[in-house]
Amino acid sequence: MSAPISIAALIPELILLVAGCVVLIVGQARSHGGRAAAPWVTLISLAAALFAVLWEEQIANLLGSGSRVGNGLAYGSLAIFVRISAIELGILFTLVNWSQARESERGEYLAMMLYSLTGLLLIGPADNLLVLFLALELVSIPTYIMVVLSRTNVKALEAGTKYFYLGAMSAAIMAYGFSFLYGVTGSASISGTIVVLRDILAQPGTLQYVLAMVGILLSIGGLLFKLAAVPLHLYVADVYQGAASPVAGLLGFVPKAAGVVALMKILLLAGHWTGGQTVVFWLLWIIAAVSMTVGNLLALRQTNIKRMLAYSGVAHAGYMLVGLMAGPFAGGDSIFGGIGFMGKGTAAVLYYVVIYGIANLGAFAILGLLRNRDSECETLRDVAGLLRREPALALLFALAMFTLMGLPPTPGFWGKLGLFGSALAAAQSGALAAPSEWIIALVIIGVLNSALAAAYYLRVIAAVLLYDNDQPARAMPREAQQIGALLCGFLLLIFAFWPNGLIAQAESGTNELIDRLNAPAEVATQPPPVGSPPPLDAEVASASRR
Amino acid sequence: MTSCRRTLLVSQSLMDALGLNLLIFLPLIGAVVVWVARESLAQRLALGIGVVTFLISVGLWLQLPSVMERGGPGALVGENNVQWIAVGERIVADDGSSELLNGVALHYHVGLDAISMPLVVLTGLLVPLSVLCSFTAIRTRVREYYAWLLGLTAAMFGVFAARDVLLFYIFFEFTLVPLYFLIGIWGGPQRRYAANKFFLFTFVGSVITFAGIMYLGLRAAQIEGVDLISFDLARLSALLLGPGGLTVQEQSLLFLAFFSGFAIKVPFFPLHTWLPLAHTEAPTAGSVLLAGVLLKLGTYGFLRFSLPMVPEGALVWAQFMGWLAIAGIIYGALCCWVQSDVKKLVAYSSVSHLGFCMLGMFSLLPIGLSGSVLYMVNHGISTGALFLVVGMIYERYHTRDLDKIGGLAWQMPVMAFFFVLFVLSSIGLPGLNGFVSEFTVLFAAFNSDLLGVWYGVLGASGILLGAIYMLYATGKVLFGPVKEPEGTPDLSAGLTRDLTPREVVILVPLAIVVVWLGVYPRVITDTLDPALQTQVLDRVEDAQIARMAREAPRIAHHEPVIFGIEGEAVPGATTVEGGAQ
Repeated sequence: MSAPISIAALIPELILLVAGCVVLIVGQARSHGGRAAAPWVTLISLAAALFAVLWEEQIANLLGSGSRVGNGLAYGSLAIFVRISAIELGILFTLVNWSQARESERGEYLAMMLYSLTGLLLIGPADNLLVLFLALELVSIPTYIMVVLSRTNVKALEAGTKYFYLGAMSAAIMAYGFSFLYGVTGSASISGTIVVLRDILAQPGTLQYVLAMVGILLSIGGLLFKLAAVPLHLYVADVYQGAASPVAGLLGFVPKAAGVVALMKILLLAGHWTGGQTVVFWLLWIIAAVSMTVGNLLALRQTNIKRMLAYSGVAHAGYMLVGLMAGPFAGGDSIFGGIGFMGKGTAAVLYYVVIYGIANLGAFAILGLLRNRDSECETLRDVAGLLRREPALALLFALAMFTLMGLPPTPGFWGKLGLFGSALAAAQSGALAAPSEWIIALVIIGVLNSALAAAYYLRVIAAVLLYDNDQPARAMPREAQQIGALLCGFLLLIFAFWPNGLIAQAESGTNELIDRLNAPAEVATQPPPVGSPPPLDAEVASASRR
Repeated sequence: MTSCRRTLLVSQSLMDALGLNLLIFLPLIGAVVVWVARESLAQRLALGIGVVTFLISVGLWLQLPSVMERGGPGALVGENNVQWIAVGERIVADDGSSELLNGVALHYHVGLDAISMPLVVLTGLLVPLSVLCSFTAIRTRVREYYAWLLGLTAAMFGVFAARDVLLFYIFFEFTLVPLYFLIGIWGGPQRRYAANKFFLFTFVGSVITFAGIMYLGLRAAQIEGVDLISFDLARLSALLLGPGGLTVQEQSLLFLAFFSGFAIKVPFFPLHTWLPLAHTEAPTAGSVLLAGVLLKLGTYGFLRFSLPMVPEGALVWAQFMGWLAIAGIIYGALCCWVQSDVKKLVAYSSVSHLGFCMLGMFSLLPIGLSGSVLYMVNHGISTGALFLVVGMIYERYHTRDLDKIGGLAWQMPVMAFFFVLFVLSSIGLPGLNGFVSEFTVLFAAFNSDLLGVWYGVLGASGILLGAIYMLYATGKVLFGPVKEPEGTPDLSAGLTRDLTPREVVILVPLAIVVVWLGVYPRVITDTLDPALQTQVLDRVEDAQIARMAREAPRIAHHEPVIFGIEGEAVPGATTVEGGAQ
């Protein structure tokens, strides 16, 4: 085994983990003032973690720089992107969830949020299937609890239970898939087994090939739950509706981002972007096309905005899959560094996850703030005529909807430019294992779907801005939540007119994937880290190893 | 002396650039200001901004001849080119300027040439008039109304000024939002349905255009062998055709992709259903700008983007476009004939008129193209004016039903004068503006190798139908026994029985332009023709040559005679052959 990772590399995660425990204790305080400190502790710990990420070099100098790779973790540019975006959105989540849950349970609630974010932070560097699995579960399990805690409502309990059982099932599928991959390669390391797996996948028809394919397909299948893509989308509407709005806003980012990054690693392992397997291609193609279409068609039928946003999340998972499919080499493997954003589907996906997370959170934050006749706003009728009573929130809501719709020049449009552009680039460069017509067809399905989606987003905008209402909803006087919503709107405006920074970060984030794919080629001459290249009867070999 | 002159020129071009940016951003800033200003101030503020933009647009127009003299037919007035969204590796020069090596670059590249200039001036003219006509018509949520109107103005100027295809697309889509609200909040009884239909129709079409633009941008980098994706119009409309470049199949598919966005906007015959609804429900100012400017986005899009970027695709589909145009001309005219709602009648007449415009464009002859640009301007003026007059009638009588009003010439003689003038301009009476463009367009259709006599004949029948329905409607509204609905005219908003001075002020400029362009269209065409030649027609000719080069061996094999006539290729022979396949 290589040298263990230095503790200095893990500081942000440790901060969040420790803060989670502190919040858990503070939340149990007897006095009101003590319990009220819980959100503050959460916010401060997130800020501290953000500084720890930003000043990583200085801290490393201070503590003595150790290894940033080891114990199944490998910190690279992808991890940095995931860290920064997760912590920044974590701050927004904290603001929006400031007064969520009963006061006596708020400590637990916020602690769960911090644990979930810690899991997300660990997915970025995870370089081992086992670590990846643990990180994914660390993301998911706290969210089940959050859904239940968020409301004192039997619906929340139902939603949480449903979410938990389906989540457990998908985790089982994923773990089963991972075990196949471990079985055929003899190693759980991701970057270490790329070459091994490539050799195996180059020999179709052998038993190992079949087992490896089963492993890859099951892993992808399990991850679809995190993305909320068809066919594992059945829970979203009920969960989003049952949970309080701010939690639903969180569910739009944390599990999706986790699923996207994990899926990147699996696709990297499967060699999907370099030649790749036709079966994997078609699986992704069908899931992407069906997710977009089914998600939008289901959303079109909703009058409850929370359910509508949930189903639209399914469609957005479909868009993300288009970019994931195109991958980092969509624009060809050029010596000049490629065509960037429109040639690196993975960069576009990372960008899009963040933008989608902000817009979705903004919408849910506003929904959570609004009360109509003392009940939480959920339906179109509830928010009708909002412009008269709460002009700022109404415009913000419209901005979030336009962003989700992908209308130029909102940041959602730049995301679509990247996602669909990279798919077209993949079609032109012939990087994928399929005829280019089909990729172009997927893009056409995608853009038509974004027009279909416009229909229901426009219904919300019309309700909020065009309609009149005798009793329009009013916003609760909750400063933190309002600040959170306003910050979401502010970020959307910034990224509308100056998305350069985020795009560049997302691009450098995916450069790690490219490096990892290129690196094994150099390593290939040496023996792989664990075990020897599997012999022809690898199944026997791996069985004996076990 | 020369250096002094050069400084003057530089400062002049700086001024132009400033002016063009003001044209786009002043209304945008104005929109925000108006939204937060006091209600009583909103109207005047909006009008002031409208007038200023009009003056700027005229000022830029006056610069056009001298700029073209210096910089050739493709020269841009007020050119401005800065990188907006640019991500990639940069190479930094000694002077600190950096250049993008790879990645994606979207430029804020604006500038006006002789093709976009007339439309910008048209927009500049119609905006203050439509602000002015809303003074009495809009009485609720006044500040918001003018804010959206100014937002729409900014987007309209931007769309004509954009020289970057993606920037164009952004403005193109952005026009939807303000108009959506203008129709949806201040429109008629079915306003929300109309607004949604308008938005969705246009959006569905344009997302496919978006896919086409992305594809072309990526393909450009591939053809040129570079890693830099940019969407500059000049770059994308100079791509290699033929072997190693854009293939015919690609081009014809891309043409269809652009078609789906632009044709809905034009609107072409089977895709027009959103238009009459949007027009009838929209407030007058919305109708004026929709008919006057926004429909031109479709025709302008075809001319500016489809033709130069995918010329062979245009050649492949030219006859199809011709037939669609004719279907629109005749169908629109027949629909007009049976309308009882005046506004709907004018709306359907737009379908018919823009069919003429497209017919001229896809003759792909110089005269046809210049006629179609003239048609855009003239249609904007006469239809915009008709909507204004109809709006004035509606404000007094609260009906647009032809059967409920009549004999208004006796009640409103001044209005009647303008109404007749604009109707005559619309049906193309010689001496007024409509005639020039209608004549040139049909002339081009008759003489085009791609279209031909039948297109001309069928198109010309549209003129006849146009005269019938327009004069029929005029007769019903203006002449015959006086018919007024009960309790009208409603003069509660400070109107008078006949037009008020404010309303006369609105109509007079349009009347002047109608006559001016009728007797002296060269004010536009003198600069327009060379610009069209270099920016569009040369490219179409390249495509014809590429097509001949591709088919030459085959033709030479079958019919060597055609190629041998007087030692030169006969475009007609080859294109007819190509078109017939």
